[in-house]
Amino acid sequence: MKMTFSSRRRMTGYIFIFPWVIGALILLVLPLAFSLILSVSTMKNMDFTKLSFVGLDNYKKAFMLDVEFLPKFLDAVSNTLINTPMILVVSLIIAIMISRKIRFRGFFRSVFFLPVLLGTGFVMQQILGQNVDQQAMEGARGILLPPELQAYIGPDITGYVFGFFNRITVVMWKSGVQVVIALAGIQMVSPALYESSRVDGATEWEMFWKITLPMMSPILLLNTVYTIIASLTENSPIVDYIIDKTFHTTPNQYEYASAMGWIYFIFILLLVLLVFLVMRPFVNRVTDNSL
Amino acid sequence: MTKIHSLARKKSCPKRTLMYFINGKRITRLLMYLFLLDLVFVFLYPFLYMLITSVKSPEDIMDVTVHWLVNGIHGQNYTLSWNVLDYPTRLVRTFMVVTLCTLGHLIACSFVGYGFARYNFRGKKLLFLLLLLSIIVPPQTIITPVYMIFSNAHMTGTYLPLILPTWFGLGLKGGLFIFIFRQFYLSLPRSLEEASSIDGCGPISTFFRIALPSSRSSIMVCLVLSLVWHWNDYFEPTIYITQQKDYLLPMMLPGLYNLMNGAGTVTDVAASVDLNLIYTEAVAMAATTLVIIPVFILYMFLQKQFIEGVERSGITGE
Repeated sequence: MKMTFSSRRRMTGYIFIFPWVIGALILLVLPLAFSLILSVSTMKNMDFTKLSFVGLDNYKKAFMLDVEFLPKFLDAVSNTLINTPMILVVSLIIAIMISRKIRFRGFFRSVFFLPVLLGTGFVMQQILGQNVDQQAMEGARGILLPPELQAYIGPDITGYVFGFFNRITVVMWKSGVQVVIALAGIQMVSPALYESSRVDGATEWEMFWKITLPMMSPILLLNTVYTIIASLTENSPIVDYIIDKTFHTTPNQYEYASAMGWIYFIFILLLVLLVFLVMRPFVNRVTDNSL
Repeated sequence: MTKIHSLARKKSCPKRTLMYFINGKRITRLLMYLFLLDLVFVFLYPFLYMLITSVKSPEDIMDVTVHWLVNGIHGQNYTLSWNVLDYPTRLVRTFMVVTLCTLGHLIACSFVGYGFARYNFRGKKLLFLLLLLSIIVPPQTIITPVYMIFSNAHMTGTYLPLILPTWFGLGLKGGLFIFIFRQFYLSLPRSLEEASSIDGCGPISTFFRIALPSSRSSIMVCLVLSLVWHWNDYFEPTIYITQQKDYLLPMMLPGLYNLMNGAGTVTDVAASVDLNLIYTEAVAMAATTLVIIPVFILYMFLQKQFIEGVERSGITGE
């Protein structure tokens, strides 16, 4: 068969992609379409072939009738919105610190990834249930807010501060992957930039804001999107709830669970798009290909 | 002569005054080390807690004053959890399943990532959007239809629903790995591949002989990530694997934890369980330690190449 060079290249491209496309069609596109259909219908007697269209009933049920969905959903969302900026900042700080030439660098670099080994789901929940996060910060709490000071400030503010400590601890445990990504980003910045700015008399602070941060902006975007997705899809009450309704309640409420799943999905999609649109103008398009 | 010498000496050796220490870089360095040490403590804390709790005897658990200083190592927790977990069989089985999944991810995702990076074809942008979609869609949204597909194919109850998608580039965060490999291959100079095609290598040969071996850093990254994520994955296995005897290691943990919290009966957890022994949180922690240790050891071996792999893999390039 006589083909031009470019069309032969195209065919080769298709061959490489082919297995994935087939898989994605069967395991992604088809289920998405089907669950969308499910979410706007009801079944009769658990028979999937007898679906009747009910419009947005399931969605309305999720928002207005179900007492459990909305609180859990908002809970997960607020958790994500609070945790994500903290994870980004913490991972950036840690990455900057361990990218310098310090002793035991290898040790520090591997320690930060360790909590990821614990897994984000069940084990973590259990450990948190035992208030390990509180214990981890006990030393810090004793130092920064000795009991006398606590009594002076009052229980409310103390509660806020301790809540902050607990959250910071959990945030640090969740930032393993982000630290690794941020570390890669920092290493990508050409040292020549730093040297020339140092000659021009820039301080460390200025160098951070004017060089490090802008050059890392694509990585920051990657980190943000990854954190949002990871934090919304890990095991949390809302996720358990959807799974519950799918598999563990009888009769199985497949339609309702699909509707909830779609609400969740659309929300994640919108959030990621929002982040993308907001950060796109700031993302640096300069890539140093001369290295 | 001596006067000039002594003058020169005075100028080149500044006095080590207090101001020198504060204004100089030494104290910042010291603070940084302290801060890092603090962070290390926080990061290691869950593990330390796990280890200490896992060797506590039941009396120690009840005793509130016993925090770090245990009254001797209660090894029975470990023998107990070893038996409940049916450790040797489950370990081997989990290891095999996870290895197959990771292997599938590595081969398939590098293959597909290469295609996305090197070739232009019609609909490429659309397919790339589909790739991003595969990363964004939460599994819960599509779990019902996917489960139906697998049950129609009579694959439920086996490990196949876990392993098969990975060989197609899907599976647990497969889209992310395709993305990572694509970023890497984009940064690879084409000259090597052009040279090989001049020498008569077909595209697939080129991939396996040249592109894949040079993507070693990306392979390390995806290897560690896929391994760790699959080992700890609790969501999908519990949906597809119904028989307790087929359970993978991490799936045994919730049963143990429920036992510790007072919910569920002992027979929920394992068939071969001695009802006379006490199940405390120490046992649950011991079980968790046993489950995590293999991954821990593997990580210790791979961590250097993993971190360096991230830096070299070019995920950060456009």
